[in-house]
Amino acid sequence: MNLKKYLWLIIALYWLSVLLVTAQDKYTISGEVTDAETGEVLIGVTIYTADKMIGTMTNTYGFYSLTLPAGQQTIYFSFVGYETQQKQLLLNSNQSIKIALQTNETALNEVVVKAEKKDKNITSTQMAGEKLDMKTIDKLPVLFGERDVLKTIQLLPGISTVSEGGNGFSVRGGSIDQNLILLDEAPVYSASHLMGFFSVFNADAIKGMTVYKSGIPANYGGRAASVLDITMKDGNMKKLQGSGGIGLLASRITLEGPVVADKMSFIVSGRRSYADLMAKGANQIDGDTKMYFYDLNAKLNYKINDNNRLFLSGYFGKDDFGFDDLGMDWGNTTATLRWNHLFSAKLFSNTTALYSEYDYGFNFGDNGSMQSGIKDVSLKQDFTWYASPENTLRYGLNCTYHTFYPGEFLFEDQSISDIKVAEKQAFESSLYISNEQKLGQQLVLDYGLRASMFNQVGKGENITYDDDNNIIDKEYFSNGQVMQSYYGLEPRLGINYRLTPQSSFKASYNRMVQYLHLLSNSTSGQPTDTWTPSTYNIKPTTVNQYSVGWFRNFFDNTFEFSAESYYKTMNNISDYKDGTQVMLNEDIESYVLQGEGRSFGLELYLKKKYGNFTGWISYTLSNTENKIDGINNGQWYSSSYDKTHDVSIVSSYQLSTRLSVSANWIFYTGNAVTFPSGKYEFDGNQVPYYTERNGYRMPDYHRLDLNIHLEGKGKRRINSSWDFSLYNLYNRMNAYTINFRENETNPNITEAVKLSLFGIVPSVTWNFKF
Amino acid sequence: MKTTKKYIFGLSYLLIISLVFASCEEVIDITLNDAEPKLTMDGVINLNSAATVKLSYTTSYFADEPPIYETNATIKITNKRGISEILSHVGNGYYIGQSLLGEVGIEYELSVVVDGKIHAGNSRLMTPTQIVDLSYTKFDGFGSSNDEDEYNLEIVLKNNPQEDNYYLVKYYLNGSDKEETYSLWSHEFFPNDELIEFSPLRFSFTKDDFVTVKAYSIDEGTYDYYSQLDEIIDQRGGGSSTPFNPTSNLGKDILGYFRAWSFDEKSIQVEDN
Repeated sequence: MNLKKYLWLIIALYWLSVLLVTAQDKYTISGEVTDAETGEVLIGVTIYTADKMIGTMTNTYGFYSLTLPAGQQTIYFSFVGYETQQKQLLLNSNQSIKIALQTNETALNEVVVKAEKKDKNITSTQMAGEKLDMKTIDKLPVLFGERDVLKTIQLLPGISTVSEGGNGFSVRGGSIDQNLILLDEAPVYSASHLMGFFSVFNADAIKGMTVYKSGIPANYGGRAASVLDITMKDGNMKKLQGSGGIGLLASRITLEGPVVADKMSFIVSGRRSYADLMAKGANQIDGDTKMYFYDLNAKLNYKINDNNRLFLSGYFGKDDFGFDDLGMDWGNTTATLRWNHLFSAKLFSNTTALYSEYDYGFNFGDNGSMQSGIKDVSLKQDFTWYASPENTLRYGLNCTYHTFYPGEFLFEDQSISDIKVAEKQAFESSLYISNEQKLGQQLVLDYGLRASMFNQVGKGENITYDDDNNIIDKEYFSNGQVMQSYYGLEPRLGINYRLTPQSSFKASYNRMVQYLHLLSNSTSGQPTDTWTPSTYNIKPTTVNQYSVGWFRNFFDNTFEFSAESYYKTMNNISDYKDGTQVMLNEDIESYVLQGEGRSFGLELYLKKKYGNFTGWISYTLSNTENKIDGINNGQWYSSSYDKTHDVSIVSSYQLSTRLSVSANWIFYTGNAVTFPSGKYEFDGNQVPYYTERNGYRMPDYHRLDLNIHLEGKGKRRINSSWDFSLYNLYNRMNAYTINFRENETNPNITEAVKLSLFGIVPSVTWNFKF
Repeated sequence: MKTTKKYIFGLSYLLIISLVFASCEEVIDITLNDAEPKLTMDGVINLNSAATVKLSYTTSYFADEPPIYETNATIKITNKRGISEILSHVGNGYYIGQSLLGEVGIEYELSVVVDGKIHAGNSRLMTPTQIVDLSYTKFDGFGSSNDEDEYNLEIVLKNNPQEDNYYLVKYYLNGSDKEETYSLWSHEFFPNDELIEFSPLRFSFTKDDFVTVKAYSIDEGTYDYYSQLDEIIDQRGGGSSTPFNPTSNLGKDILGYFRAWSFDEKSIQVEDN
């Protein structure tokens, strides 16, 4: 089939790379933009000419390239939270210009503020790509003193919390496994610690992130609903610096600095929770109980010369729970090695080698132990070619080898045979190309195509099942033999039409193909969920999404408003036959049912960006339904991720230079759930009788959080600050589950019992910086 | 279906959740729909006893009045030798047999005819087990240290190494005729020996309790059914996995199960020392 198409693409890419023709009367300026104090490269800095007619942005590595007409030019470099810098130059040759921006902590200089290009939201083609830097996240209320990127994105429209105490989030009706979460380009398979209370991303080590929920650029793929691209800090190039915090549940410390000044830097950041120590102190649990998580981020950043740069980064985290010799643990490991290379002022290259692993294990003391997980090894090559001020091309390829080990149970007792679900392996590869093209001053197009290929390879067996999950046929494949292949062509399109200087209309289309599936019999996500490849029996999920939006800024860009609407169709989404046992089920593939889904929604977003009072209101109205043969008599039913209304109000008020107060309020419609519509007696038990799938709703969820942030006095050797926070201020007992069961004293009476996880939770954290 | 190795996984994630956080339970009022009543069946043939079957219809979930009984059914039990018996209705949906008694190693078919519709299924009476030994140990896992001492049972059962056996063990407190909870054990969990022993973590008791254990020898279908039933009736504070109706061996249009089994019974109490 598509081999021909791939060949054509490769030829086209080669041709593009070779064809580096420069227009004669134009020259290119290029280089990187850094933070003047730390030398950290800045992502998403806007660079534009005095008349704002030509502009660009720094990429993930802080690099920019802009081709301008020869002659006298004034260039502005601007970034939120930094002083805008102006550069006069006489352009008569290609120039490398490095810029270091000064932070603008107090942000009171009106002149500077006016000069900023604050209408990025209007001009960017990226429809739903929301960039958040840590400076924004810093100002939000924190839970247990931990700023959290995953918690923050759940306050944006279209992104919803799946459940309190759960692992994941849902984007525009997508399931939790449809989010591609990248940490320095390495996929993170399970992003939370401690029942979802903490994400695995230690805020101290994070530089920023971008979340895409539609119009997903062609360089991302493999997941159907969204991309969350998180970048770790590179480490301070100028001086040794430390920061940290001591909280009630966890403490953290970060150290960063130069190895060779302005040449090589490092950052190491560690965190550990001690809920178990606290509980022991309070005599809540016995001495042998373990209950903690820890994680470690490290990065080394080496600027070889102006054209070459190397990064090595890693993450290692683990949760550990148990008592005596029984227990469970789970965690991620990722490693990224990157090489940035400039072939010319216009051709930027990034080469990446990746490793990512997620595993969990159980230990049953004398009885045995169990292990399960997924492992990825990946190679990636990306090019950005700043062909002209009107055209920026991005192209590249990506190959990943996945190893899935769904689980094995090793019994201590040698006379019982171990249970082992066979390992699976798969090879996933893709090619992409896209062009960001400016057509006149009003229209920007970003169009691209991603071609993906997925091969499940041996050794293994393709098993054919009948309707009752009995094996009918088996076909054996040896090592490396292709067992099953799938292909996908994924067009991507984004249109930005600037209506007026303050408003724009954006539209996008994307098709995403997802070859990996998370086997989970619950919606909220648990560490014990298992990843599986698309196989002979399980088909890849595909999603088509159409999105339109109107963006408008008011009052000199102080307020941003957007209204977006989307429609999504999903194919081959998975659910299970009734009562399926997911864990350690050798024949799990025969229990997976696949069908279609659809989702549509309206998202409103109003944000105040500047001033002492900042914050946003986001509202999402949406509907998500599934239709899967074998479930709900093959009729459409509300998806478990369907949330009719979802509201977040986020606000922060700077009372004085030292004191700020922030609060957020969250409201959403309860999840669609299956409740009984009758009961019967069997063997002395009152048994609930279920009819339609997801025909009921959990009670609405709402909660108010408050945070007071107090900065220490003036400049000292150690700067310190305090965070006092109250989670769930008005102590709403939100339902985590509702169970139907017999009354304990009178088994003839049946009742509904609500379980709530958290009432009001106060916390205090002391943060320091030196 | 290997429904479940889950009984090994007593230490679940959700158990941890409820343990770690001071979660809070509350009985709430909730409005539920009333489904069209569906036929339900609870049928059993015990070793050396005649079959008993109860037929009724589902009621609304919060109903506290008795259900509507099916009194006009024709119920027939047949053993593998082709001998059969029609059960007679004795009131309130109860049907009983007289002559056909449960025998070891025999498979039984039950057929229920209601309004001209036939529901039929099988179950096999396996080798009976025996509770060879019943003792207890002090439980020293998690749990509040201020409370009274808690105890766990240690049970030794007789097993037939020639068969793939399954056991349903019910635990009763202080002479109650309704069990506190039950657990299921499959031959897969044990070396296939003459004796098997285990300690159920899900049932604990205190010094003052009088504990009775009933160990049933069951076939694979019954094991699967009770595993599914356990997920539905004992949700133990968590799990957002989608609930479902345990699958009957008498077909899709009926709820409940027909099983052939035998059991042994023993009691124990913590001794003062």
